[in-house]
Amino acid sequence: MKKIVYLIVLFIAIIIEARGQFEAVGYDFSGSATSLLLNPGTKINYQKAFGIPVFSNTRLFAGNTGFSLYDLFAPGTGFDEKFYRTLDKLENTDFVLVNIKNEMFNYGWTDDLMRFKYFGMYLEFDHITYFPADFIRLGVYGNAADIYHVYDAKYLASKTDLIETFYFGINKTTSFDLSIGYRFKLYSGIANAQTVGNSGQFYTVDGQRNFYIHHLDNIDIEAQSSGYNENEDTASYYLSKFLFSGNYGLGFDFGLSYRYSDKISLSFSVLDLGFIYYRKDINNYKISGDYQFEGIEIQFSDNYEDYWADITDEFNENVIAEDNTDPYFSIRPASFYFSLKYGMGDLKNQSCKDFMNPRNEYNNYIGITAYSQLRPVKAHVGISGFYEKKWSSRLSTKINLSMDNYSYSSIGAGLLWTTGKLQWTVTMDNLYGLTDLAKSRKQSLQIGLNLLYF
Amino acid sequence: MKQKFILIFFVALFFSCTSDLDFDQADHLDIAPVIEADFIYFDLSKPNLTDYNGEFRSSISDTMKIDVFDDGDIKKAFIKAEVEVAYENSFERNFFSELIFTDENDLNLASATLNIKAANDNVVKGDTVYVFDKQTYPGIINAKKIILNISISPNTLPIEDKTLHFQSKIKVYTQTTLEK
Repeated sequence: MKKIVYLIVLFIAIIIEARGQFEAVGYDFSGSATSLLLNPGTKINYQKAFGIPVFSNTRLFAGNTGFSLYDLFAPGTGFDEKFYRTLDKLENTDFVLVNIKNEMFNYGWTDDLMRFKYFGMYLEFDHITYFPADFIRLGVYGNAADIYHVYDAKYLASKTDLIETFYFGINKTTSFDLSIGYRFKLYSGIANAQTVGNSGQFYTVDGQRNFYIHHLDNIDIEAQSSGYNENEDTASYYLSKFLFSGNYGLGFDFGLSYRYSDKISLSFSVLDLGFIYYRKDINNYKISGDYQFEGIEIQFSDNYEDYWADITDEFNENVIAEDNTDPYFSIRPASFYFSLKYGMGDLKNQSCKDFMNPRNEYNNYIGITAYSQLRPVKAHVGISGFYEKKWSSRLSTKINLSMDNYSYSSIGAGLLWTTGKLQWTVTMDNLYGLTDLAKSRKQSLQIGLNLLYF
Repeated sequence: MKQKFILIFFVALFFSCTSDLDFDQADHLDIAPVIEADFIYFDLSKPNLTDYNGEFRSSISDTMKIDVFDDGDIKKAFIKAEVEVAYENSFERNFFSELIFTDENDLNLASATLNIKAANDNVVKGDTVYVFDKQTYPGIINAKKIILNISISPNTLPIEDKTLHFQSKIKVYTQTTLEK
């Protein structure tokens, strides 16, 4: 038990500054068919599953860490004032993130070895852009007010993906206490635009021969894109991209659930360890090099000196800008989940339904879920405490209180309802945001409709 | 009871409120960036002040073409420029420097002068700031050249093996409106 307490404290300590696109409510929602996508090793209590096409698992997430729409577009006072007030609070690590996943189909069955095998496909749109606050302030205020400031190109980061993911997974309860699962993914990249992993700095220091030396050091900035061909800008072209994009990648998910004791369970999952290799309709633009400027040295030469042209030439020789069509890799944003829950209240015997794991289930659980996702610039993390209640074998609810960078107290709720063989899963985060969407920093919604056969 | 609960949950889920937002107000934004950068510098020494024959030159000059004002947006956004200069003179002579902004035909659009004092036993240091604003010098936004003239006060002594270090920086004030 001490180890468990230590683990909890450790996670809270590590993730005290919470960040991320965090699907806290849907993760490990007991018995939900949609939980399988968040943890391939989640405990499964059904023998066969069939997702209602297009509606089996839809997730919408939008968040903005730096400001709300209301901060900028509230009626009344002038826009300039609101813009500058917002800009002054903005940090380089603030970002806007939109993620939409729509599962087209899924089907799963239990084989003779009691392994649950399943496959499916989902379409995903994912966009993240960091607000390079320093560079925006440089453009709006100039450099004079803070002449020695260091402007770092690593904060120039944006990535947009439109991909199809085909997956095949296996979930196995190896013992009464342990369920493990893994999933293989084939990605088909329909379109991508990204500028990530940029480096280099622009800064000013005191000079020797003049007041300052302005530096561009180790500049390496690249924007890459795939999926747009201006010569084939037709509907049939884009339709063909959905069928055979020509940009493929591989991914791997892994997860497990472990019952530590009758009351305590742990689970862990890692999702989207993978990449996509883009090689079709590539358009890249790269800037690299170093340059220093200490002013214009007047020669007083008898020969004519075109100083301005010399500076331009010297800059162009040292800072190279070039287009290319080189294929490139796009790394998927891997996610990591960890959850710990503690059972309370009455025992509910599920032996009739939970044929693979005939252990008793509690009617009430409390626990925490921690999360991390590898994104450009920095990893996003989040933590959530939850209370889950099973009202009956057909109805469960879950309430979460989450910390992430959009909010330090986001309340989410989930409902799992089975009517006949149809299971409804509905989860939503940041319920308070619904009271005023304009002031909300994030909203997420997940809906799943699946036919389950016990 | 359960059905009511589920109904309430679903109904609550799909109802939300939002404050009024006015996106039209963002059709323009006033910005006023102030750009600061190094400007010209030089070190004058004996070779600069003598000609090929070794004869003393009492004045020297150089011209720098500039094309920043070829851009109509910059021309429109320009408010003023502050040029800060600093010098260190070890010559035992006075210098007179003149910075002139001209158009293509060398017409004087704006200028500034600086008297550089002669050194005594020690190096003489000085600095000053010149302001070129559009109201005082309306023609400055048509500048195509900067001419720098340096003249040395007459002296019967041979030119010394000393230096005049001159450095400067420029702070450009702009104001513009970004429009949709």
